[in-house]
Amino acid sequence: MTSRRFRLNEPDVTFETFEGEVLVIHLGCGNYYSLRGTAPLVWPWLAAGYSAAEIGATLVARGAEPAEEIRAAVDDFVAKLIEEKLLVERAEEPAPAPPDPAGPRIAAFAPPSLESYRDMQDLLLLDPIHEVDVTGWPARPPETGRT
Amino acid sequence: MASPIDTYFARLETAFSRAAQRAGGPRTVGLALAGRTIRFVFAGAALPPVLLPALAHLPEAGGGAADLEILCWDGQETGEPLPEPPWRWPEGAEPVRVALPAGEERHQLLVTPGRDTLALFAVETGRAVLWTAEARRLPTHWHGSPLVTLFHGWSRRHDLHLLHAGCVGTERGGVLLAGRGGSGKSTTALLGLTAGLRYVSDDYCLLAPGAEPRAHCLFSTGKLHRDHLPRFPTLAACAVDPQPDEFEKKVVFAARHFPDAVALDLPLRAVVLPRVAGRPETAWARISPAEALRGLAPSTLFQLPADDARGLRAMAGLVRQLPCFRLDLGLRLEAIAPAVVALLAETGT
Repeated sequence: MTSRRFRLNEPDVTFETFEGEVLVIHLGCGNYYSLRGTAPLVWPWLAAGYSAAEIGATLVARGAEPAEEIRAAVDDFVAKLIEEKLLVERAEEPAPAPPDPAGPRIAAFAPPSLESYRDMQDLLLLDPIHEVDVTGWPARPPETGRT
Repeated sequence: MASPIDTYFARLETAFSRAAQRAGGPRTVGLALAGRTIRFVFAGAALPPVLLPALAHLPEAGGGAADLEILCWDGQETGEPLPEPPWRWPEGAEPVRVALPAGEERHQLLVTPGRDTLALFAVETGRAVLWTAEARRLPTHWHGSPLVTLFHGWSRRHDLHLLHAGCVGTERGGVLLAGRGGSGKSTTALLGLTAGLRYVSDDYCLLAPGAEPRAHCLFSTGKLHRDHLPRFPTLAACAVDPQPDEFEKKVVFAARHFPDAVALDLPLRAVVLPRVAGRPETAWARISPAEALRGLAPSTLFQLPADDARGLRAMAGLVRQLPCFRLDLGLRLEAIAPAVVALLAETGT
């Protein structure tokens, strides 16, 4: 996994970054996520197409240690993001230049973490916006449709 | 060349004209909402009592072009049926979601299972057509929040954002009450209404972002679950249930029963996340913008169709702009509205 490159699963996935936290919302499935630890640093790198290996190496170059733990933490984080369909694999394209290893020093490494919230399906049942029962534009089957 | 949906929209307009002719001519109602003009054009007398009471707080709009025009007719009353749609109506009674195909995002379609209601909104022109088989059968939530998803689609074109949030306040301004169902936002808003606070909403309001963000009152109604009626005897006395539905909420028309309390809009001073605390007293504490957005954004984004990053950006901007609080609702209900007032004072406005 470490050399694979990803992108955000847009347009289903949208996010907002705050100090110390990224709020990620999967509009397609109704789940949302709080990313913390070093996730606010790592998330935009993943979105930009850096591999887990490049990100791990950059964190180590900036002072995070021990290296093995850092690489494992990034791999684990990426695996969770893929499992939640927040990231999808990029099609073949030129790799971006890796992140700058000379960026701000990491004094104490906090593994990137993902906390998931899955309460919205319950909410839809409890407090629905009633008129959204059916929305959109159903496809017209050729056997029954007419213009 | 017109697309099938454009052609169908034209057929709906023609059908509406026939319905209006049969009903003795159209009746037009123009309303001013957040600086825009909403115009309903009715064929017949069946739909106005369903759609208009929730909008009774809105001032009449003058003539001129409308930013949103909705042609409405009742099939049974007028004898004018719905033109056969160029697609298969969803079968069964279970709600389903269907997606717009690429290229048809210019329209928003609202239909209900059972083939009893259809609304088609041409987003770019701001024109919509609503047909219902029989208005008197529309469930109670239509009386409380009529055409809410249509207003959502429309507002996005006008730099407004429909939020799943309540709002009450004072002359100082309002607090936006956010959170999932059951969190206490409706309770807080309705207690504020009965305690004399200015009332914008208990569940949906329109956000106008800006240097001084404002919450606009879209529906001047309150919704009360039957189980909660004993807590609100004043509201229970005037709550109605025109056509009970599975959501089991009664509706209070605040503009009718509390006309002085309803505010057309309020400048927002804080974002507040209520929660039921189970302690005697009500208390509040500052929370981070991220935590506030976690309370505000998901319930809005997941309930309103076709919302996207723009809605999230607007809400994120709001929680960065305003102080955000957690409001732990105490068991002494009479203390909750004063707590909101005290919280507002703490914002320094």
